[in-house]
Amino acid sequence: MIDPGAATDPATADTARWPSRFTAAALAVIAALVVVVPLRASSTFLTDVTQLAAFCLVFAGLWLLTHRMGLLSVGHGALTGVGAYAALHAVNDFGFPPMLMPLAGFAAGCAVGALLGIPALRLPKAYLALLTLSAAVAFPIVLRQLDGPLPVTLDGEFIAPTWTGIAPNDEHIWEFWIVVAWVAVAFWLLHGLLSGPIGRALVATRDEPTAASTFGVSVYRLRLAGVSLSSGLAGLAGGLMLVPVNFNDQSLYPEELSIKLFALTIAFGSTAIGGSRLIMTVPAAAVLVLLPVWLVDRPGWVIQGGWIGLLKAEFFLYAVLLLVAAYARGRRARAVRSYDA
Amino acid sequence: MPQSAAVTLFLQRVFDAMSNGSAYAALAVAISMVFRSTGVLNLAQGQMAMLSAYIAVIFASGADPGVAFSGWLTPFATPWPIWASIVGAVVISAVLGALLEYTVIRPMHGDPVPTIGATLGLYLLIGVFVVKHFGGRQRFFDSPFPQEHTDRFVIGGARLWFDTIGLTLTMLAAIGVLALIQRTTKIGLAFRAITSNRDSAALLGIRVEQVVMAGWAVAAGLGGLAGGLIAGELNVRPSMMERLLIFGLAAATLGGLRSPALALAGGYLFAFAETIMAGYVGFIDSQVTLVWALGMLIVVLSVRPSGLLSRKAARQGLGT
Repeated sequence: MIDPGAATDPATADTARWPSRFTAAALAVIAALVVVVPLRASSTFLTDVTQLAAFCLVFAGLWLLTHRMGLLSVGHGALTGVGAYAALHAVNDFGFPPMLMPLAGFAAGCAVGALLGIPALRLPKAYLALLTLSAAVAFPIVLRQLDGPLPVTLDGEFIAPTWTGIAPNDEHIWEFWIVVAWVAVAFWLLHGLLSGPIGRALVATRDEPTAASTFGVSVYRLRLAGVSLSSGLAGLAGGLMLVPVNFNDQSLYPEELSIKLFALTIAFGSTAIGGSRLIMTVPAAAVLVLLPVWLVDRPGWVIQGGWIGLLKAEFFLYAVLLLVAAYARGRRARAVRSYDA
Repeated sequence: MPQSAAVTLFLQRVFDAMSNGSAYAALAVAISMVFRSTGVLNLAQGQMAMLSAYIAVIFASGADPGVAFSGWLTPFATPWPIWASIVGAVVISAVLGALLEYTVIRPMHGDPVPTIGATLGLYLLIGVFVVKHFGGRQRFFDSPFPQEHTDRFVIGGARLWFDTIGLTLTMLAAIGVLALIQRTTKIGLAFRAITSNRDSAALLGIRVEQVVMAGWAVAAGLGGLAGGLIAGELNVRPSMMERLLIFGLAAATLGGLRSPALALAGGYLFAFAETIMAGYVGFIDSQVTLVWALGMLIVVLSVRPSGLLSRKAARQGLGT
């Protein structure tokens, strides 16, 4: 059997006495914000926050892959785009109800994740990174080929029911709540899954694959299921992205998005607050969505060249974040190795 | 289409693929060299080659106030010849490669997650550095080989440019020299020992870290040579290596990421397939060939996970 003491491992901290006092407080704050922010915020800001909520799911998928399973994906931006594409066409071409379209995104994400995982998971971990990076570069080209160079609009609306009391011009509030509801349900299911034997088996496939295999865990199949689930979460998020913006476009999912997602996962994912790492998806998504918004308000920063311009560039910040986080994790790996020796 | 015209067109496409094939092959060999010695998939290899192309532009521009950093060359005043510029860029790339191994990769201690993270960090850093210092616009860089419209052979009606021949032969010569060094010199023997068994090599007194650093330097230099040579064909711009990196990675997988010889063959194979597909399959344009490369990558990994290596060679990591 898998060591029951695994719950004390920081990587499995989500399974230990959940929710901790801090996590419960954080969840309460988030719940309060979910109710209050839409009533106070501008529609532009609320659209950003809605996207932020959807990106939390992408980060949850990446966290599952990177920190729970020790695997690498540099293509979750593309998988989000796959979900958006599938959700949009499920509504436009197959008459899917818009409210359920994220499920189409989830299914498409799972399928593409499995397609990439089937060959890559039999090989060293670098291969999954290689395939997902290639997918990230290829996806905008595929989308342009499939949908053409112009954005494709969603043939569906999200009209708030009268019992909500939301005015017709404030539909962005309803859209925000729809997305948050989907994200909350997905997080609840994910947490339940990871708290059980499957969650512990995933950690076992990361740390002791041979031992896990000996105890009857099919390492390859479980990893494949984990990659599919992680990709499915990205696809689900892609479907949810359509709720506030109502269109899909190749420019929304460049390869840089995948690299940014990976950078923030490495930087934020190895930290736990109050015993929960899934909570860390919120600040990671906040940086991803709000940093460009903050930079847009400083147009001089974006166009400035030279050394000062370099220091103010968004990609420079991400590069530094990646290098510092990688260095810190490398130091930890060295410390663990020295301790074992 | 008459049969002779079809043959001419086919030949022309094969000749056209040679330049791209050389660039893919050089990147694939560089990626394989680093991976087989350290187990690190260097995703920044393409960006390092792109930086090398910009360094060549700086040398070739002399003290041109319109080009960032060229003021540093004021003591030299005049622009360098193209060949000297490329050699200078290769040397600086090699030094940078060694420096990056020492400062960025070595502290990761072989843990794959932070190592891949570090190479992606370099990918972003080099990209943003170039954009902020040189701007996003294209720079022009002459080919070191003759490029007049008369500088060509005509074979079966198809034109084979001296430029293409020169680029291909230079890359093949560089890779050949590397293979020779690996087979006949002490450092080559040390490199082969490390790729075979790192711990045993260390026990035999080989300075593993120095040899790995030299491997990074050589790989960066080779990528730099590809960047400098292909710059005359593609023009120098920040995104010039994105496509090439994907094809280089795909080619490297043909050799199971461990065999430079098969990576070399893979580079040409992918370039020929790309040109032929774009030429003969109606719905595939030059952009979509990238998707085709991804599809091929998935097929190769599904059917032959160890690439074209034999299973035994793949297990031993001894494919050459």
